[in-house]
Amino acid sequence: MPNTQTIECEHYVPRVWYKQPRKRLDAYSPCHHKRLFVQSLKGTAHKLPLDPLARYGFVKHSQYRVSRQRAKARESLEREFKSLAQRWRNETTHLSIASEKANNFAYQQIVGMGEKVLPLIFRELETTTSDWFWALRAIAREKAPVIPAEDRGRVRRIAEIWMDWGKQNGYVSG
Amino acid sequence: MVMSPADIWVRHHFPNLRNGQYRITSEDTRDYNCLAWATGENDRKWDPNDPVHHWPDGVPREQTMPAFIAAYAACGYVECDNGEFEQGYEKIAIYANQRGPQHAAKQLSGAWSSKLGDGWDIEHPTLEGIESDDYGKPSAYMKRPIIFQAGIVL
Repeated sequence: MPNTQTIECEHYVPRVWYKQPRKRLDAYSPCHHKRLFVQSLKGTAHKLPLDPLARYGFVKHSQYRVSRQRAKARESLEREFKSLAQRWRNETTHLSIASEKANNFAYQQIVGMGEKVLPLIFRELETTTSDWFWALRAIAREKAPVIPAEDRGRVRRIAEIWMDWGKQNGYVSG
Repeated sequence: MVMSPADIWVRHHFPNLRNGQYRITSEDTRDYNCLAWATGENDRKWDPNDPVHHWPDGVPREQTMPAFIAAYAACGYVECDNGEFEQGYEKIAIYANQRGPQHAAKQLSGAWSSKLGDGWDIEHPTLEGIESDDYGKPSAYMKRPIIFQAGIVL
């Protein structure tokens, strides 16, 4: 089923459907859901204005499809990030100079993912003081926090400064 | 023989140490790196290329041998000819490959001590032990007098 059809779909479907197993959900294609929608509403839906449908437990099929796609994209990004981060660690933990570590192909791919990878880097930074500062600086660019001279080289302090920055800019929850 | 994760890691990254001629002397930590460890610091990282890390004031932030020599000169070291033990001096060896300096080791009464990246400190009897493509070979040596205070070697 082409994605564009799904995204443009304006039909409403019961929110509970989205709790169904994936296999079942996939059956609710734009070709079929209108019939199911009518059945589930038992003829009452047409009396309701479109927008308040959400209050009765219905969401737009298109909204669901988009949101599910986003969730899948997030999961995929996280898997890719973890795999690249592990590869980077395996290949560079014996190196001492940050630019040498950053010269690693896996690390460069992580930097290339851009802003969307920041929450994942911050999650890593919560548990380890690996050299993520280079990637953070490369992605945040001119928005990167200034590290005071007295804190330079003190990785735990630098990690704290970056975590604060992450919270202020919405990349870290809490 | 069952090897510890540290031993497996060391032997994986440093093939010349597969003969077991080394001793692990610390926990693994990311709090400092070899460049800091060579001068006796264990609470911050030195790095010429990354401005979030320490580099001596007034020394060019570049990964070149003159910059490294100037950085250690700021801590009282002067260049010397070799890594042979000299009574009354502590020596460091700066490793370099084709991309420039990569590592520094410090001498401990004949043996050498290295902080290996984000991993462990090790003691290795020879400088050749940690030669590798990534570290290169010892390319410069520096020394400074050992300072005595209240009978303790600092």
